[in-house]
Amino acid sequence: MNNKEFISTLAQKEGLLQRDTQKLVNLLVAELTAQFESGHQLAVQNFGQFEVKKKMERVVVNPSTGQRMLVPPKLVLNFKTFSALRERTQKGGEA
Amino acid sequence: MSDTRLTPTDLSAALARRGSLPRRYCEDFVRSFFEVIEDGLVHENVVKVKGFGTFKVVDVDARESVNVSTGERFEIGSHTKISFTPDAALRDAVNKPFLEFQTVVINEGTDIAKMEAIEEEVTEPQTEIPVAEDVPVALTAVTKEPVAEEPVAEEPIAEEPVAEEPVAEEPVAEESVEEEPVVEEPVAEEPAAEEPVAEEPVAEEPVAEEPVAEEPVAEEPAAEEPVAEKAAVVAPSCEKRCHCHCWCHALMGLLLALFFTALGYCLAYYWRPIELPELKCEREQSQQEGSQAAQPAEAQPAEAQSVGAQAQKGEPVVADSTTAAPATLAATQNQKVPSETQSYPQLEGGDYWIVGELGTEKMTAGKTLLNMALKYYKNKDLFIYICTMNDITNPDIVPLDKELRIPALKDKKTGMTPQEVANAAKNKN
Repeated sequence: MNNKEFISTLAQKEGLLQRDTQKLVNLLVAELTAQFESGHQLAVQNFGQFEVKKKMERVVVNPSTGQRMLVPPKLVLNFKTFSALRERTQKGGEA
Repeated sequence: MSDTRLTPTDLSAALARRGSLPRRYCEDFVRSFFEVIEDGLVHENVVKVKGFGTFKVVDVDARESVNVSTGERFEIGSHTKISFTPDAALRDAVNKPFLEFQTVVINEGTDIAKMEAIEEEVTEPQTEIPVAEDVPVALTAVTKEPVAEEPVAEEPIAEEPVAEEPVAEEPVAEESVEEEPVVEEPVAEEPAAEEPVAEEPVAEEPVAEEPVAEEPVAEEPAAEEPVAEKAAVVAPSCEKRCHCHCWCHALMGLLLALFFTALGYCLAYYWRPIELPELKCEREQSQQEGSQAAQPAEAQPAEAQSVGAQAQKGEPVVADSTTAAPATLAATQNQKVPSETQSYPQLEGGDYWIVGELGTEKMTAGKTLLNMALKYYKNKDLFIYICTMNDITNPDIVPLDKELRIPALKDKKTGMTPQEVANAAKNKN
């Protein structure tokens, strides 16, 4: 499902125009970005949890050349599914 | 990092504030948002949301694992998991504090425990390299650091010779530098002896050259002194300097580069006076020609003088005057120089005359000569006239905050301004 399909499905469900839906989604995404930027978590029931985690700097080695590289630390947005969603996708996948 | 855990309710409240929408409506929307993602995952395995990211259902193959406490082997059945890849925009926004860091290649023989110390060193020369006179400061910094790290110094003595290498190179560098100026000095005297005139243009030359002449003199002692100091400091502390010998190499390179630039300047300095008189002659000639060409134009009847400002009108008027003057004037007419041009520098061989000033523009960060030319003339190629007007020899280097005079241009043949030329070209198309 690409963005277009996603928007049209959401628009149908909400009874909105696709254009307005896209605007609302953009607003929501901007809000989410702002929240994650300030380090907040988001837990959605029956769905999952979004969390910003810090990855420490680390040294990696290129196995073929033996060259060592220092990878800088970074902040990563993690998503963890809740069991309800996992079960649904499991069933949906099988069905 | 705060651990505030948001719920969809908090999120919809924030969304309502942001979009100034009814809150109940937002709650409904946020719930549907995640429901649709969920449905999409169940039915289609992939959901892409622009600006947010991609959710994917990934199949995980069955694999064997071992129970750590009992050592029993068992199989983890194949299952699916949901992966979420944030959009590049979201990823970068979240990672904003660390966005500027980049993966660095670690050189061989670097002790990772000392990475921090080295990283500090890495940043130091970066800030200092641009200013040549900071070199002694950089040297003292380097020589101080090993002293501070004395307790940490673990490197075997076997590397000593490596540390001494730069020391060995230094006298070589000094010698070469000492020799070269000596070689040059006679060269310097020769032109002075042969052509006493050669010195005069030097004195007359623009300001840009004078500091150049002083530079090598100023740099050489400055650069040599630290070398002498360093040699003294290096001897006792060479054991500890092992791990920073690469920096010594870098510094040696820098010093050598300095000497060679100094050399280059010296050479350039002694070559120029020979070229300059010729250039001057040319300039004078062209000026004389210009004034000669202008004088007949001014010598024309009163009509011709009123012509100056607008060459287009001038053409018919001059054509009238050809009745009085022979046809040779028509030939010179193409080369006729508007009288205003004399008060402005002109570009040799250009298509336009500089006939006035459109105004001034301050050079600030982000502005380029090309942009200015595009703005004033609709033709970025004409930036060269801005250079000519402001005596800019290198268009890549324009000092910040310089007030640039924007010349008013007029086509040598048609008398049109560049804007008119651009418009005409547009209309043609």
